[in-house]
Amino acid sequence: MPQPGYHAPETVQQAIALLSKEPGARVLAGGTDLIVQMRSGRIASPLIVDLKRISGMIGIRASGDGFAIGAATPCTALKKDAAFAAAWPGVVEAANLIGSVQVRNRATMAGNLCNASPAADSVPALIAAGATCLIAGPSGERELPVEQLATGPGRTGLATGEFVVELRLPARPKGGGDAYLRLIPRTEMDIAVVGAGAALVIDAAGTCTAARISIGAVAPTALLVADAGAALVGSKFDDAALGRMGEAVRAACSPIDDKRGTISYRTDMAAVIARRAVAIARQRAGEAN
Amino acid sequence: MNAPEAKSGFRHVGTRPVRPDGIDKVTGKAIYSPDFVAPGMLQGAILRSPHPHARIRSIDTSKAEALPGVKAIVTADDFPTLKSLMVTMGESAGNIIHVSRKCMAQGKVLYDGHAVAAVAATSAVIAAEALKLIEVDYEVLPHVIDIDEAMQPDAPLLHEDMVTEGVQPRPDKPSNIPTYVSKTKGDVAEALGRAAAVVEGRYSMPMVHQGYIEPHACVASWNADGQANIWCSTQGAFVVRMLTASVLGISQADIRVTPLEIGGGFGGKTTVYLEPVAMLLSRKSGRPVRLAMTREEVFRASGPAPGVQIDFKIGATADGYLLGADLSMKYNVGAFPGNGVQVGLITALYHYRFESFAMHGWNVVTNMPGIHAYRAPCAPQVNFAVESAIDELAYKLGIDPIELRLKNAVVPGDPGFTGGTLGEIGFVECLEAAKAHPHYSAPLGPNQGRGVAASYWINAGGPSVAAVSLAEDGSVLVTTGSPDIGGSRASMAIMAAETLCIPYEKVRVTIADTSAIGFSMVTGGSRTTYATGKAVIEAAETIISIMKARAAGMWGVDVADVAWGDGEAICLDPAKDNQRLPIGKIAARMNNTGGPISAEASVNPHDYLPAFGVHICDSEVDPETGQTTIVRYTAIQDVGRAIHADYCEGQIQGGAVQGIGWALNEAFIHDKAGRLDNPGFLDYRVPVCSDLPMIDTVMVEKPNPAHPFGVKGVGEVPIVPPLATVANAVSRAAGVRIRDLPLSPDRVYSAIKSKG
Amino acid sequence: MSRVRIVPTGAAAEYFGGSGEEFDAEAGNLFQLVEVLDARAPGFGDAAGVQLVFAVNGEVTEDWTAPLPERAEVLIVTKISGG
Ligand SMILES: Cc1cc2nc3c(=O)[nH]c(=O)nc-3n(C[C@H](O)[C@H](O)[C@H](O)COP(=O)(O)OP(=O)(O)OC[C@H]3O[C@@H](n4cnc5c(N)ncnc54)[C@H](O)[C@@H]3O)c2cc1C
Repeated sequence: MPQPGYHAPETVQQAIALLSKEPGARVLAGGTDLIVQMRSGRIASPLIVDLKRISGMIGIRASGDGFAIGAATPCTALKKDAAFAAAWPGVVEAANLIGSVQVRNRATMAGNLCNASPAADSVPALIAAGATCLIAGPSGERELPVEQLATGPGRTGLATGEFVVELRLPARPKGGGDAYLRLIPRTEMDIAVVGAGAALVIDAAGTCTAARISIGAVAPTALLVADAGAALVGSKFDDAALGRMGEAVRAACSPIDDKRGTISYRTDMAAVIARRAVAIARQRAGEAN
Repeated sequence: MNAPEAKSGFRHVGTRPVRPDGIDKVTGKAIYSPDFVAPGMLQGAILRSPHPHARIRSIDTSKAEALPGVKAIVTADDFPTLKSLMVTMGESAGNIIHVSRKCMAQGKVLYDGHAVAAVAATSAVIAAEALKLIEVDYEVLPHVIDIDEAMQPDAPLLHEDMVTEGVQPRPDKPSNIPTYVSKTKGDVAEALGRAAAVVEGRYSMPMVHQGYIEPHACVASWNADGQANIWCSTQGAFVVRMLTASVLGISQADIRVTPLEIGGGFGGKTTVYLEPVAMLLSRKSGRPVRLAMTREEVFRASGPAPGVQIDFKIGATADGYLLGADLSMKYNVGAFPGNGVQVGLITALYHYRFESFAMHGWNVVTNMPGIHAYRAPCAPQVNFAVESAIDELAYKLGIDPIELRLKNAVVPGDPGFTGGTLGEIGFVECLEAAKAHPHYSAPLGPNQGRGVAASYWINAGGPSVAAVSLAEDGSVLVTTGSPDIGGSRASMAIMAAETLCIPYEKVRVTIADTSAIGFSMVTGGSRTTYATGKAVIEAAETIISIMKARAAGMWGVDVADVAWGDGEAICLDPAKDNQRLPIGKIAARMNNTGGPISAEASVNPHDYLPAFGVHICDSEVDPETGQTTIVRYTAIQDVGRAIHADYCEGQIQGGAVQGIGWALNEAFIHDKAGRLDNPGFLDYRVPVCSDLPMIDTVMVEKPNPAHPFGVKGVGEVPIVPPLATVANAVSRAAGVRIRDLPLSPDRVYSAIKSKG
Repeated sequence: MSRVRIVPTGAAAEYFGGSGEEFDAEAGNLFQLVEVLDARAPGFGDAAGVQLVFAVNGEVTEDWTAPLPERAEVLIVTKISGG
């Protein structure tokens, strides 16, 4: 009976070497997806590469004006970083909707992203915030917008030997605010039927000067809905602009019918939840002015 | 929370002492069934069918047997062929053949997850690997999940020999309908014709599961001399002994069943799924064998509660008197005939004085796991329909919903379902308490709605044995055969301490194995505090008479001159100047006065009384998303008398929470291939803490005159009213009547949308 | 010997033609009644007490040795289970 090998390398280079040697190898961050999937038999991996011993993998540091979050940083740690929590409350809230306290003490945003579930909660928030991921691999480093990492349910564009080293977020723009909301049948411990992230910038007059809207659980991957953002730019969030934003969100939806929601319910809810997320982001942006 | 503390006349009854099993349970020291380890124990695993309906052409276990570490493999061939025989399980009956077939499929698999083979190996990993090597040749058959489809004449047949019972003339063709029942009173059509208001509707709800935290698990060890030990988590060790012995065709005295701590049962642990299989694996391997279900196995292959489809029509006079009820019930009982609609018939309407009614009911078998008991089994389903319709009727007539219920509520002396008269029931008292509760008149916010519903549960009595003995220092040992699920050790200690007039802490309670105490029926049916409690009290009273006699001997007086009070014998002989002998002194000398002091009582009481409950719920519905928030919830119940106030309230809260779960989100979901699509707590959505407000409880106490302390039984009735209570509240808040459960956000949203 | 009225309901009715029709029988106690009814409907004896219970004049009666009152109504009902 083959038992998977376990390695906890201490450098990025060692991790790359291990991952390159064994194409079926899996990266372990918090393990809250990986171990569950291995136990259920959904995936079998000959080799587990734990990132947590690599220095710099756990924690948030300033990077230029913005933030770099180590790939193994647990979600609860994000709340404790006052500067980050003040800059991107929507991202911190999204990451802290995941599971329960026990789950979040281990779960990471990078794991949430690389697990590539269309319903991953932190991902739409990261996309709206304009986050990128820094990827290390046999041929060096590359940086990719978060929305480009997942290629389908459970699939990413990571090549053999590559893994995400850190997530990078810009500084909060002046007049900026973000938010993430999800719809679930319960109040916690559930998977998003629909999720929506919004990051806005408004000027002193209250006019929207920039907007990024992202939706989750309504398409094979979390989406950046450029049209939805564009519908808000130049407006003061009047009903007509919000209506156009909602229509753009609906148009971007291509959900499936399953036990967690029907196509029509998910599509209707995407617009409702996006609108509510925009309202919160707008309030935060207003407070920042 | 209005539990009366230290009621007049009682020292312990009604108080809230710490439970004796509490420390072990909260510190993880308590041994639950998956914790138990026997020396040399093997790990078992069960191969389960991926098909909901298939004929087993053959099973090839040779490759698995060849795997190093595999010590035994069991299939249906290892089970004895049984004759059809009805046996008592819990308090109802079942056919032993079906019990056996739930442990291991024989010839056919009848649901996704049905057991087809089992392995015992030196490790769990090897056992799992061996399962993959077992080759089963299935002839896949068409399956049926839906009640209506299963009732069609051309539906796939689960049991080729099953003919509907209760139909005249006896049908000559088999069907998926094992049972038809009916009961009528008066002329319903005529009565409804006179009604000022009539309400009619079709109600439905899906199959749901008990969701106990601890999965089924056991260790069995069967020696070559035929004697066996089973350690397991169960609501009744004696039912495990009887069913295992019957399925295997062996003597009951050869099996000693030790009940371990139980992590929830709710009725679902009053039968066997694993024990006979573990026994056979143990006999073949010569070693103790553990079998433990995963959560997925629990959902796919244990005993859920039936889904239903119910048509209900009800009418009343303009001033709210119920004239007639026309009720037709279809219960989806899963793969085997079960007690479904029979209970519906008894619990649907008897809490009101209907002038006339016509009830018809069918059990329907489908390719889902066979149902088993779940807290007031089969009553919540029909109560949902009845209490929803009563609510609609009240609004239609412009009568307050509690007022309408009060006008029709049964009172002591009214006929009950067995034809006799109802005793000291407290339905009216509960309705009055609900009406007077501040919750009922509190203002509602926007998008909020209030619902109420009422129900009853018959409760149960039945056989129990208890033993009481004294330690040399006068502390007291109570032994029963009733597993402690909801705090019964504490309740038994309270009742013994009350009877003996001694401190609660001086009494310790043990749950014995089947070889250490006489037969006791399961902990279930809301019977334990009532029936086992009677045995404990009776044994304690015997201990008092023995102690009085011993004290008389020590004093040299006639026993008639000895009284008992305050935990001591009191000498009434004036010559002895009111001398006293405390229990400790009598115990210290017991071997000089006749030997150990111990007594056993065996009882079989049936003077129990039904329990009544009335619940009030405020819900808030988000009109844009259909999401429901339970804002406030109050459960009012006649408990007879609360022995341990906390655990009565805990039962009421727990029942309410489970019922709220059925109402809001719980459902078995099957995919097109007939496989259970949500066999886990992620998509089988029991409520989480943050879904619920504090469940406020009000205990009405109308004592049962037939129990020394007035116990009626509290554990089951609280799961009955929540379905309609919540549905009535949500229907009000949403402005549209919803007759299908669960009230998941998408269902509520489409109802709101369809009302336009 | 008392003459009693038998009211078979639910599964009990199955043993006596299925229609649930009431009939009279003579027995001194429930043991004797079970014997009488088993002779009339073979197999009834096995089900009695396991699957079926008796309510004599409305009271569920587990003590089968108690004398049956003259003209008593004996309702036979299916046992039902609690959780
Ligand atoms: C009870 C429970 C509740 C949950 N609730 C939610 C919820 O509400 N919302 C939600 O979105 N999710 C939920 N999840 C899923 C899970 O917790 C999250 O997706 C979590 O963020 C995963 O992070 P992790 O660090 O544990 O990932 P891991 O399990 O360690 O990894 C996940 C996947 O990503 C890969 N991976 C991890 N890190 C990297 C990296 N740096 N580079 C490349 N690949 C990597 C792994 O190989 C694996 O395939 C829940 C899980 C559980 C068990």
